[in-house]
This record gives sequence, structure tokens and C-alpha cells, in this order.
Amino acid sequence: MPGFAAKVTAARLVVEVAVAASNSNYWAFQLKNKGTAGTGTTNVLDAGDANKTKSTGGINSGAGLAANAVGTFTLHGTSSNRDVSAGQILVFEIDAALNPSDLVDAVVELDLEATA
Amino acid sequence: MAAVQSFGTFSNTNTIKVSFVRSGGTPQPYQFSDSTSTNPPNGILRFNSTTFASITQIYADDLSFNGFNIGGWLDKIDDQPDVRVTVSRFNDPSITRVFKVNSVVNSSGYRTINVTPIYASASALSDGTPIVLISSKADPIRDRAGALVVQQSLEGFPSGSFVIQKCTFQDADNGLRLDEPTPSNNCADNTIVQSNFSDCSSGVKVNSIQVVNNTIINSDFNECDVGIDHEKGGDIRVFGASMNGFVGGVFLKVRGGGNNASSFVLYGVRLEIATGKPSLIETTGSFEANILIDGFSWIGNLYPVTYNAGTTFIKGASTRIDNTIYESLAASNTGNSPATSPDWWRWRGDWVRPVRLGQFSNCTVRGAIIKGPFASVTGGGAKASLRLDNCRLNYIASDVITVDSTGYWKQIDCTNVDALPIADDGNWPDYPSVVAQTWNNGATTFTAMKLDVTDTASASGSLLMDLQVNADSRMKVDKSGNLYGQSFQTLDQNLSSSNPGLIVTQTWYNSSVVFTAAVINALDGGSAAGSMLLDLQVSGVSKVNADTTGKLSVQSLDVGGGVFVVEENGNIAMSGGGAILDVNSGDVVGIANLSAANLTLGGSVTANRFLSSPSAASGAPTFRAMVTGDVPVSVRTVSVSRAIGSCTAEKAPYAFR
Repeated sequence: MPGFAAKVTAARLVVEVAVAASNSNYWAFQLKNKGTAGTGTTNVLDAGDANKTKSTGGINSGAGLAANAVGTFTLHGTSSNRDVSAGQILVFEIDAALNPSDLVDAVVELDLEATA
Repeated sequence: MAAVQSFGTFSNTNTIKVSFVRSGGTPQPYQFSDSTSTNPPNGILRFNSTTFASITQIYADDLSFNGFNIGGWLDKIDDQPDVRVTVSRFNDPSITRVFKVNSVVNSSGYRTINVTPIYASASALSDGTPIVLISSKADPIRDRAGALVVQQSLEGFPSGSFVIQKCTFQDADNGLRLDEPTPSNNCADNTIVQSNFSDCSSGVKVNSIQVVNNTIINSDFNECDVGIDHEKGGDIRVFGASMNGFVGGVFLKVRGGGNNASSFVLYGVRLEIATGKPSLIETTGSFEANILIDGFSWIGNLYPVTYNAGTTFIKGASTRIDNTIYESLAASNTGNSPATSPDWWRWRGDWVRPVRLGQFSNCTVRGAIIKGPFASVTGGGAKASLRLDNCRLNYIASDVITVDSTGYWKQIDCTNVDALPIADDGNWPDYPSVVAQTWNNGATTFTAMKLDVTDTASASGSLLMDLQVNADSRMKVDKSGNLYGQSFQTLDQNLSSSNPGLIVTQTWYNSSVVFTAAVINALDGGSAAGSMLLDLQVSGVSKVNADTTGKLSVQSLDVGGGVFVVEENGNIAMSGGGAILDVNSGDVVGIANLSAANLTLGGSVTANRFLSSPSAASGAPTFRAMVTGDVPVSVRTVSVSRAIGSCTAEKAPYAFR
């Protein structure tokens, strides 16, 4: 991704159509650092329910995703997981549990603070 | 042999003694009669008064008690000068009367012996007592030819110009009487040599204004109340004498003078009196007395300190209550009052001043040893004076010499060993003890040691004191009061919170004077690096020091209650929130790193200011590349947006790069 070393300081998601929160039908989001070879597995975001559209402990305090509103991801608790070197590949992964409502015209925003 | 008289009876087996008495010699037997009439019967002897002191004549019949006519012998009694007669009880010689014979007169059938009474024993000589009359050459005197007449006598009456040598005068009111109005020589010019005066009220009695120029050489006065009682007369010179005894009195008492000037010279008089009130001289007369005392000394204790009930005395130690001296009789003698504890203390008499000068006295004492209160100089309007010349002062205190308002005394070239010996070759190892004093009055301001120099002219380097070891000064005080010493240390046992080790107290009393409390002025004629002007340490570790450049090194600086700490690594820490470092328009230089929450650049700024690290070589500014840390986080943060479109659950999972 970036041509310089940076630290992921924030990650957000915006959707055009609201996604209701559900503990059974929900979306799960993760940003993985795949390294320069594309084989890495480092989670940049918290792997728990905070980055899921679950009604319990989910994103936006379990409120799901509102239409055209920013949903803020919870970053991984380990600082080094959020470090990104020049040339490393960041992959935004989206997974579904059962049948949540569609993500419509979603946009992912990532804040990178240069560290060198 | 013919029977003369009988007394009592003899019994069988009685032991009798028969004495044979030569006719016409001495002693002669008489019977005493207490009648005072003249012309006594045969064998009778009478006095002309029943009062001994009033007897001027003895009436002795020409016939002695054993019937011999001894008139011729009686006439010969006064053929020689200075003869005495003794009348003693026949069977008890202790009952006796002694007279000086003035003349013998033939009174037809009896002789009248004109006498001067000398001595009477206490017991009465009763009427009818058998007695003996003894004639003797009374005076223990050698004549001009040197013939020794008598070696021991009760009293002596030299007429004049005699050499009285190796004579003993004992048990007399007045041993040697220099008071006889002998018309030829007036008791003058006698020389008493190597004689002894024992148990006399006065060893030598001088009681005539004509008595002059008598000299005493190497004589002893033992157990005499007064050695020389000078009631009247002129000069007495003593060359070597000692006064001994257990309870003694005054060696020379001058009670009067006469028409002749009275001068007294005492050379080498020595008192060896254990107790009592031994003293050398007392003058009370109303005539001028010029006195020279040379080499006087006495044996006895030093003037001891006043008794203290809390003091433990060893056996033999002395103390005093007022001027009464006591000697400890036991070891570990504590709390036993000397005046009331005779089992613990022995009375050693009263300390009296050995020299007591009254009116008209002019006395010089040379070479004496002063051991305690020494002299009193009084006399009222007739001023008395005393001069101590080359004496040794073992005791010096305000009461060593007392004077009345007109008395005068002065010491010349005396050695005061009670304070600072001029030279000590180790002969006084106990010297420090003699400087001990007792301060025992809370109302008195004492001064233990005082040196008062009258400086009319002296070099600038003159010293009030110079203490040396091996001729090397260790501490000295110059005449300006500057103190020079090797070091100063305090005594640990005297330190306390209220008594710090060093106090310099000054009173600045004049607003127009620039005072300086303390100055350390090191005259640096060469010193190694690290030399210090000041180094304050705790347990050998420097806490505050100032080097020769004036650099002050401190562990911390407490300013106004806050703490300004300069640590050993040079870091500076200031206690208290909001502490301010204000250099008051000065410069702060040498800062390698400046960490500040706020940095305000004040004043009129006309150009950009650069924070830079100047080159050590040229002073030109050098710049470094900007690093990420130089950029604010908000500036160096980029946001990346990625549209991922729409996702359905059926097609999940998704991955976006």
C-alpha cells in the first residue's frame, strides 16, 4: 500500500443502505496485513464482535450500520499489529454470517500516519 | 657529825639515803619561812614578798640549815656577772624559784641578796619546807674569750657584745631576754649562734629601746609561740633559722621600735610547722620597721580547695573550711564534714597569712615561695608597703595579697607557676592540676586566665601568645587579636542542637561603616589544581565547595523554601510546580536540547528565527533533514478511501486490496 512506513490510526466504513444489527445474521470486517509477499495474516483490526454488525458488542455499539454514516472500526489492541512498512499489502476482508442485508455502495476509509 | 633537826620517824627496814654536802659550796640547805621580815633566824631563808613577781630581796641567814656559816660563800655569789640563785624544795626539786642575782649585801648576821624574779613553779613553797639554795652562772653565754659557761638554761640575760653559741633555752616565758638595762652595753651587739629555743612563749624577747645590732645565726625555734618577740628596740638580723613544731606561731613579731630605727633582716628563715597558725612576721608597732626577708620558705600543704561534700578524698588529701585546714584520714572519704567527723578528718590548723604588715612597715620579700593567701598590708594612715621580688607564685588569686585603702604592694620579676611557667624542664608533671580553679558563686563573673599587655611600643609581629611544639608554632595570637592555628576542631561531647560547632557572632553597630563578616584570603603563590577556598564536608564527602576560580559546587540549593538542585551529573532540578527560571534579561547558553511545553519568543522579531545546532568549527548554522517526528501528526496522517461497492451475503467472503 503506502510507499512509506506508517501506522494505521483509524479505519471507517460508510454504506448507502443501513444494515440492521443481528447476532445471527451479520457482517464481519477485518483488515489484514499480508506483508510484501501477500502471505501475511496480521490482523490490523480487532478480531472480536466490535467489528461485526452484531447487536451485542457490535460496531456502533451494537446499532449496526446506519445509511451514509461513518461506522468506526476498532483497531487491534497490539500497536505493532497496526504498523505498516513500505510495500506491504493491506487487504480488507468482509465475511457474512447467515444472511445479513446487503452492503450497498460501501466505502472503506483508512488513516495512515507516516512514521518515517 | 651532829644532829641538826628531825622530821618524822624511821621504821625498821626503811631505806634511807644520806647526802653529803660540802660546806661553802652549792647547794646549801635552808628551811623556808614565809615571813617577809628581814634578819631571819639561824638556818632560815625568806623572801621580801609573798608574791613571786614582787620579790626583790632574799634574806638568807649566815648559818645554813646544817649549822655552817656560809656568809663568805654568799658574798661571792655576785662576784661574777649574770649569776642566778635557785631556791628548791629539798625533797622535791620541781617546787622551785629562780632569781637573777643583782647584788649581795652583808646585813650583819644574814645576807640580803638583791634579785630579779625569773621563774616559779606552780606549786607553793610552804612555810617550814626544807630547801636548798643553789647558785649558778645562769647565762648560757660564752665570754669574749670563748669560754662556755652553761649549755642549757631556762633563760639568758646577756649584757652585750656576747657570742652565745650552741645554747639551749627551754620551757621559758622568754628564752633569751635582750631587755636588761645593763648600763655598760645595753644588750647590744650580741651574736647568737647555733642555739636552740624550745617550748618558750617567746624564744628571744627584745624589750628595750637600747637593744640594737643583735644577730641570730643558724638557730632553731621549736614549739615556741613566738620566735622573736620584738617589743622595743632596734635591729635584729637573722641569718638562717628554722621554726619547728606541731602547733606554731609567729617567727618574728614586731610590736614596737624606739629611738633607734628598727631594721630587720631575715635570711633563709624556714617554717616547719605542721599545724596551727604558722607565720613569718607580724608588725603592729607604731614605729618604722624596715624589713628584708630573703629566701623564706615553709613546709606544708599548698592552700587546698574549699571542702565540697560531693568530692571523694583520698587518704592524706587536704581541704579547708574557710581557712581551717583538714587532712583526710581514710580513703574514699565522701560526704563526711571535716568539722564534725573526727574519725575521717584531722585538724591541721588554720591557714594564716605568713606576712602581716601593720603601720609604718616597709617590707621586701625576695625569693619566697607563695603557696596561698600570703600577706596583708594594712596600717591605716601610716601606710605599709610590701614588695615581692623574684618570688615563685604557686598560688595567685585576688586574695594572695590583701591591702587596705592605703596599703601598697608590688611584685617584681616573680615567676607565676600557677599560670604559665617561663620554663619547665618536666619538673612539674602535675602542672595542669595547679591551674584548676573552683567557681562557686553564681553572682560572680570569673576570669580564669587573663593577660593584659601594656603596649607602649612593639613591633607589628608581636604576639600575645605563641604555642609551639619543637620550636614550631602551632597556634598564636598577634597583638591585634588575629588567631593563627593549624586547624580547628570542636569537642564532640559539647555539641548539641543548641551548641553548634562554630559560631561567629558579630554586632554591626554603625550604619556608616562597611562591615565584612568573614574573609578567606588565600595568597596563591602556587597551588595544585583542585585547591579549594572552601570545602564543606559530611563524613569526608564534599557537599559545598568553592575552588580557586570562585566556582561554587553545591549538592542542592534551598532558595526561599523551594529547592534548586544541582545533581552530581550536572542536572538541575527545581522543586515546586510552576517554578520559574528567570535570568533577568541575561542569556541562557550551552543548551543542547531544550524541552519546553511552551516556547515563547518575545520581543520585536524582524526576521525568522531558526533553532539550530551551530557548528563547533565555524559557528555557521547547520541543518538536518526533517524527520517524521518534526511533522505534526495531523499533517503526516493520510486518509485512504476505497470504494468497494455492494456486497451480498451469498457472495461473501470478499477481499479488497
